[in-house]
Amino acid sequence: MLKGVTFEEYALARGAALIRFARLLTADEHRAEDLVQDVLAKAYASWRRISTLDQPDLYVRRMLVNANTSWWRRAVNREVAVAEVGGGRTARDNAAESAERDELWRLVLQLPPRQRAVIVLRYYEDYDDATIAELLHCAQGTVRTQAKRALDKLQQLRRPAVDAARGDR
Amino acid sequence: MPTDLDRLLTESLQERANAGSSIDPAPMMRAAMTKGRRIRTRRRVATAVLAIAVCCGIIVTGTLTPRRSDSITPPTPTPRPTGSPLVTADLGRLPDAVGQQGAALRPDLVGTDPSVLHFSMDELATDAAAAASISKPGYEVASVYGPDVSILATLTHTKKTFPLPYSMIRDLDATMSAPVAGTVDGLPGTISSSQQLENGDRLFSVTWQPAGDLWANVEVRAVTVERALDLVQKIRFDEVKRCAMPFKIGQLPPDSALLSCEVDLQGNEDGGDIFSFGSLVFSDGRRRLEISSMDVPDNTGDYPRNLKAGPYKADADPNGKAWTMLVKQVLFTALTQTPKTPYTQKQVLDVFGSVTMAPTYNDPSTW
Repeated sequence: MLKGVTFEEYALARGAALIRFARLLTADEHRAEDLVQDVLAKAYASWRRISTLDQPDLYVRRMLVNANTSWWRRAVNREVAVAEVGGGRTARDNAAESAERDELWRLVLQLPPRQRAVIVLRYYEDYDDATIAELLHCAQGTVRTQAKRALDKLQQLRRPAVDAARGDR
Repeated sequence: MPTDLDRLLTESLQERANAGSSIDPAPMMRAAMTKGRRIRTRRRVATAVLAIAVCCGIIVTGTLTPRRSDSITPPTPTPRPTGSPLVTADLGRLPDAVGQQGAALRPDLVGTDPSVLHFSMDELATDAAAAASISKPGYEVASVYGPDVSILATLTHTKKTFPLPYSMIRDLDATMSAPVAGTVDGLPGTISSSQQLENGDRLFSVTWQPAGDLWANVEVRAVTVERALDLVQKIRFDEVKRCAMPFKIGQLPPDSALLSCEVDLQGNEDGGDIFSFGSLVFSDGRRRLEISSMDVPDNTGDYPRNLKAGPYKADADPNGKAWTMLVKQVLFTALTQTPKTPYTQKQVLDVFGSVTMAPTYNDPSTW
């Protein structure tokens, strides 16, 4: 997919999708744009090579995940606070499912960056484990382990939160 | 079979991904191309420097500890191999800022006027592949990369500023030794060094106070500390250079002033065009507008242009955050950097329309 396209064609076609993906990795709308811009700049510098790959889009997404993980490590060292996408709830919606989705998103933010990347790739991008493994440059078993750990943690954290939310109503 | 958690996760992530403001990839693409072009230049220069080192046989293996006192003499220049991938030129030719005093006499002025640099590395840039000058509030940076020298100097009023984003330490991901006390240009300072790099030299980071409360930090690649300090001493703190480009902007955005200036020069294969990239950031205190300019002899990035900007044609991205204009071989891009109440299209087009190209594109001394 997209093999052989020019950088301009690629960036215009996939730029918005990359930003949406980055929003989920970074949990910060503005940092997502910065991250995508930085990664696209690096991709542009090497586009002649990237465009010959079978799946340049997968390669650029891998760059995004790695760049975010690197940033995260530096940010943790600097104790940088991370804002949320959309600044928290975007609309007043008291429906139980909406509250649960909000709560789940907050819990996803607590996952380590690598686990969050696996969750985003599996549940947002709908990639299978083989593709995620290729993208993250690891074994499929590692993907499954990371996903299981993440899901276990979400289940574990979610239960009391959901119970509390239901109790509030 | 999908569980309740699976479904909720998918819905939650989709909701969040779409929760931000609407996305127009075009301005981001153009900004990425601008930045990517600079990365490519830097990478090309670094590769070429390594290639030349290999060709000239100046790769040093084993320990770098001098065995005799004369072994710290800088290597004798070796004739450059033909077919070298590195194209060099005299890049130390930005015009002098006549009537202004350099950092040695007026250290307090460093980082206060983005249109000038209060020091000069011209002597190091006479045969260089790339040179950059950056002047921003609080600090000034100059760098030179070529077959014989890779050096980056920063002047600032606080030591905490180092290392800056342009740092070679960061670019090379170098691990530096703890700083040790030393003498730099006759003044007390500190010096740290990296491990041996791939082409045999090391990266030295030299910090001292050349005048008043001014701090200088120089990152320089060299085989020995003596060679590093020899290069550092070629920096002139009594000269002032203009951050000039091969064009002038006659009209600034309303109530705005220049906030930062960057100009990159580069040797080119035809021995001609040495202007590579420029960036001017204007601000009125609330809003910011970056006008970047790139040398594009092959007219890449040429789009249909239907807006009038003085005597030129320009085009806009649909979201009103970026505009481009091609004048001769310079591609101008205006990017508003303020999400709310940015500069208007008319204000940007007025700035574009006021551009006048220098009469001699290839001679920085006339810019």
